[in-house]
Amino acid sequence: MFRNYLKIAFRHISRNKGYVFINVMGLGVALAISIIAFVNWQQGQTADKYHENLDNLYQVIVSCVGMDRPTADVVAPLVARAANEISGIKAGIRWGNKGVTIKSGTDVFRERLSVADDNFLETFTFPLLEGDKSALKDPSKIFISEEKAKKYFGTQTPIGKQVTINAGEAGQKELTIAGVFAKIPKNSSIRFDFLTNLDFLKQGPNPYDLTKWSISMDASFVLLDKGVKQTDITEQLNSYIPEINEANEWRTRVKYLLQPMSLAYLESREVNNNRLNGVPNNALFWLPGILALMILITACLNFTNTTISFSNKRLKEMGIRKVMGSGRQQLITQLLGESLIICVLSLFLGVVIAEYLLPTHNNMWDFLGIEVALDYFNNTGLLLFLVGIVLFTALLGGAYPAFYISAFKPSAIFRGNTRFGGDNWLIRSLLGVQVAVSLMTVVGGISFMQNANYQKSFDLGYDSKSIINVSLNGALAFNKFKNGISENPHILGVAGAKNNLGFNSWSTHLGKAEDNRDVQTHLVGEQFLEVMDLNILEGRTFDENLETDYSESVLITQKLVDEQQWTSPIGKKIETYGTTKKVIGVVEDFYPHNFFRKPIASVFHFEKPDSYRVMKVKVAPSQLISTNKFLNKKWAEIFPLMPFESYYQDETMADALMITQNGAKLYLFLALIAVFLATTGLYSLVAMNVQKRAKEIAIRRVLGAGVKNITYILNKNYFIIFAIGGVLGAVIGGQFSAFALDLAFEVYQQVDKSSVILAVIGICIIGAMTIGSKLVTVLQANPADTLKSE
Amino acid sequence: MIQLKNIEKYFRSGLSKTYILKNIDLTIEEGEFVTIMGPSGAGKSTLLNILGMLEEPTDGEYHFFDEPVHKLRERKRNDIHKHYMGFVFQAYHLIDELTVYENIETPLLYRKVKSKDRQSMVAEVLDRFNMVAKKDLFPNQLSGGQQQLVGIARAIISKPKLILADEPTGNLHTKQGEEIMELFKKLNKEDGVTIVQVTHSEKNAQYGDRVINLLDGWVATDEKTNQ
Repeated sequence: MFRNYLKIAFRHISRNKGYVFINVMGLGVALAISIIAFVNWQQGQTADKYHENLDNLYQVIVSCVGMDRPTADVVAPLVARAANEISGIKAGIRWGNKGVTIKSGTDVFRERLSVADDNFLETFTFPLLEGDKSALKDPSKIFISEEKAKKYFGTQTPIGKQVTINAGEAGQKELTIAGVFAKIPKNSSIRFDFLTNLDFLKQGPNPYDLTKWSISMDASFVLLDKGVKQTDITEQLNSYIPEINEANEWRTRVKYLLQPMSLAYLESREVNNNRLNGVPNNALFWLPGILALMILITACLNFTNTTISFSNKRLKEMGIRKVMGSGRQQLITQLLGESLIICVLSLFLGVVIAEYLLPTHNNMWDFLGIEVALDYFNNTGLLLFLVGIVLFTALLGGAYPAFYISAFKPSAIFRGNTRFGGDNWLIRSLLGVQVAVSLMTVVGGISFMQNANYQKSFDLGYDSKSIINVSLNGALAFNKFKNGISENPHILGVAGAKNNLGFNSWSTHLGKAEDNRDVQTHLVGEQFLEVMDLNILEGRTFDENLETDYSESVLITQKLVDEQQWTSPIGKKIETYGTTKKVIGVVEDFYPHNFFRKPIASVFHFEKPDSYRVMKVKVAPSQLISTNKFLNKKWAEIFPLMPFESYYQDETMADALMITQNGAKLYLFLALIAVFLATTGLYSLVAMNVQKRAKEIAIRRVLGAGVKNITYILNKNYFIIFAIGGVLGAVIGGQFSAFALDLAFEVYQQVDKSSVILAVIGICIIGAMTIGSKLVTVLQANPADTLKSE
Repeated sequence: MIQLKNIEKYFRSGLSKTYILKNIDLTIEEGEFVTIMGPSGAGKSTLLNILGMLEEPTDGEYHFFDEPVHKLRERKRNDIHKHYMGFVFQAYHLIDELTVYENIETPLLYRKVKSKDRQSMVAEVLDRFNMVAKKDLFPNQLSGGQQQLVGIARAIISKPKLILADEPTGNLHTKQGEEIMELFKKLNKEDGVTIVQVTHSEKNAQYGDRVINLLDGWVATDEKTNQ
């Protein structure tokens, strides 16, 4: 029986290559997209899952007065003390990072060095390729990633090699490589290339005393005993708060919270000052899934439509089988089985296409650290998904035709008066849905494209186009380099700063606890406002000749003036970090987080060159690249031991622009597929309809109906469907893309109405052309022939 | 074997009824070879379909070996249909995608006959109809007469008690038609299969032993042939 079905299915397939091609292509592409969307979703789900202690690991975060979200920079001694004093905490682990230079032989690179407590490697699961975990307890040892080991030592074994941290600077330190750890997945909240003992922080020119309540760490974790209640632990942690608040008045902690490690990656943006790796928005993991599902459903509907329209040929077979004694059940099984075969073929194609699309997907989202792989043999979830989606597709696409075709009475079939009504309301509304989905994707594409243009030309309120940033450290380096480059006539200005506007920022609490106001702090140096083109609306800018400007003055943004409802802000007092300063000027609002956040109330503090971390060099936009080369050359002359690191100010917008541009690409790719699917669906529907009405058309033509009349008769129904589907798709598509943009950005532009209307018209033209191409063959046929063959 | 009591088939259109069959009383004994004749639209095919349980009468009783078919559920009706009846059509109605062998085998599949038994049964029938050489051909590679032969082979493969044939020679030329009719006669006489055929041809009617004439849905005459 089964073999009989299989045989007939394959013969059927080989005789209807066009039908099979259309469906396998459509479903294959849709399945490929679904597969990628699934592994992409899995990427979010599997984040950090490799830690053996995951269920009992928590990041300690603290909510503070004036902050909209809890913050990650917990005071350093907290978890160390808590591990000793609170029962239920098995271990407390602290983790931090420092920007350093690492010298090996004559090579010097700028790197990020991670530091952690002795028990870090025992608590978290980071497998070592070489070396022993216990070496982390030794402050003279360092661990290195496999990638960096290759970069530094090539094929030689790195174990036992010496590297120098911050060579030539105060706090220079020699470390011996004691281990190499395996590649850390990109969806890990803790990622590092170099790891040494926390003890490292206690040395150098600014040693940290990690027993003081005033020092904070990038991240603090606790490992709880099994079955311990989180609230019991947080309550006890809260008992330290009075002591901690007393030690540093500039922040008022309210309560400690435990963020489960399993959420650290997905929810990272819900934590302020978070130095853990995470996604900017976890919609990146589920939104593609929704889009993929939409395309898959469209492909299934298409499958349904084409199956039914090709089923006229199968009717006789169904009738004969019934007469031969087949029950309806058996026919349904047979037809569903055939759908399943098409779907399995599509899956094979889908897997091939997915393989092909994967690198593109990974390139697109590489900047967010999203990298997925199709590892069919080690990913049970993926295998289950493939089986599930094939069954789902076969059922969704094949169920209706199977039930529909198997329901006819053989006597009616043989009498010849059964033909498929290709025009019933269900099939028509399926087409409508396809049109709507096509338009949703087209409108989405347009919306993201327009947004990309809008953001490209958007004025962030400061100069983002003609600045080169050079990383450096302190007054000596700043002045030396500034003098060294002063000869270059293309350089229009040089400024220094501690934190770099557009790249990193610090949110802090303003005023007394009860004021409850969160502001952004910018620690800037000489010439900063001038070079960055920040506009002073009122008052004056900082003056490096006035000693009091360093200690007593601040500039604030218009937003803060508005929030405080000050009519004359100059001279008002502001309290931050426990000191009170006077407002000397008001700066026009700007967008430090470019499109991700609207302007936030900000405070500028004036810093002396000692604390400078970055030099901002202003040139004409056309001179950016040549000047950067010049800076690099000069740096090598002046600081031969230190690596040169520079970046352009417009990179601040890179992430945002990548998101919109990738969104546009993704949408347009999906639009292409959706339109292709809708077009093939329409084509087969029209073909079926024309076939069914061939006699009617022929008679009408014999009676004298013209092209216009025939066109009208055949298109009337489709036009209505296209109009309804088009309008629905445009409206929902506009809403949906606004929703997607809103998830990513606070600053964006809604899609322009006229281009949406153009999209609707475009789809209608494509539809008309599809119908037209079939119509031509009908009109070219001699009506006499049609009637004869009837 | 078959007993029809007051069978009626009609369509309602508004208040009036359009009758296709009216007041049919008919008894067919096992082993008979019955021919149904009549002009176009007289209800011959409908009657045959009702006998074959492909259509249901609007009214009346249908007893098959004392089973009241009109009262049975669809599943039970399907069972009777499956186990006792074979069909032969004017347009042969072979499945185009299956070979001769597979077409003949199909009814056995629905009767869940074991693979080994199927092979021997099909082989036997192919042998009997001299079609062994053609068993791997597809229907469109055969002449009309050969296709009808396959159609009959398929109808008798599961050893039915009743064969219903709707103008089995309608699409064939005279000589092929005669061969087919001879075959029916042989099946009737030698194997004792009951046959009910619908035909326009007086000559074909003479192969059987009873002729029922329908006129506008009524039984006009019901008489033995000259045999």
